[in-house]
Amino acid sequence: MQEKARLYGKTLSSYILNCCMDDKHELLQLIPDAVELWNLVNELYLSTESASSARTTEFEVKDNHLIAYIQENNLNLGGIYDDTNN
Amino acid sequence: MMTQTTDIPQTGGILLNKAGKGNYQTQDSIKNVIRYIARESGTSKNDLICRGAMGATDFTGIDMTIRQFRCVQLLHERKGDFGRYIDHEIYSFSEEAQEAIYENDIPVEEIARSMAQDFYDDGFQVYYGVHRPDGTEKHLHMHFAVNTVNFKTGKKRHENKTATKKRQERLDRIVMAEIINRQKSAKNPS
Repeated sequence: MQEKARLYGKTLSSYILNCCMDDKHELLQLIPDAVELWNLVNELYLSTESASSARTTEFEVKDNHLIAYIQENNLNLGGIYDDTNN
Repeated sequence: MMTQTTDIPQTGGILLNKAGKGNYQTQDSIKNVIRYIARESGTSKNDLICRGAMGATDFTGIDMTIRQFRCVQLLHERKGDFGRYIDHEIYSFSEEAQEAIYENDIPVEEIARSMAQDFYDDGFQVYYGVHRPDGTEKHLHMHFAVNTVNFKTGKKRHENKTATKKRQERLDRIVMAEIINRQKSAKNPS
């Protein structure tokens, strides 16, 4: 089945959904595996999405700490902390 | 009156199966129910908290999800009418569970996914969505669109009141377990 998909220039999943619909015999054998594959792909996407959000948050937190440190220790850096009005 | 860390809700939710005679007996029913759950049909109610699928992809868009549901239905060898194409079940959280979820800031998405897993483990693709209380439903509630064809066996789903009651009890346990875990974590942060 994978070879056939390759001949059509498609992924296995795409081949099943787009080309197999007329070949019921082949399709039927693959459906349970296809469903589990779709589920796995969905889980992977969710994991990637949540990891990506977590990583962005992590960067933002570290960035905030860095900025706070610079402000505390470099009072003359007007662009970041302007003390000239005191 | 519930406190944040020690009270455990004692009453469970309610699971309602919307299947009645003549319901959901056209192919369009799959699209209609899934779009309704995903709030992608008619007027937006702005009450969707989260949505997802098990046994199908949801990030590829609803049309693909529907296609994947239809694909599985090809497995079923029909003897006469196909019958229902989709089952629509609604789980309403109890007042106590809803309070515990809000007070402990429990991500409903995780509970939803665990509950959807219950249908998937039985061999059925499911699309789910969690909605806020509205005029019809007074509590937080979850909609499940369940494919009536089992992707492992090709057989049709037959749910009776006993099966629905047993599933309700399992879903109650999932909700309780999540609440208890969160309360324990809040009490003993690592």
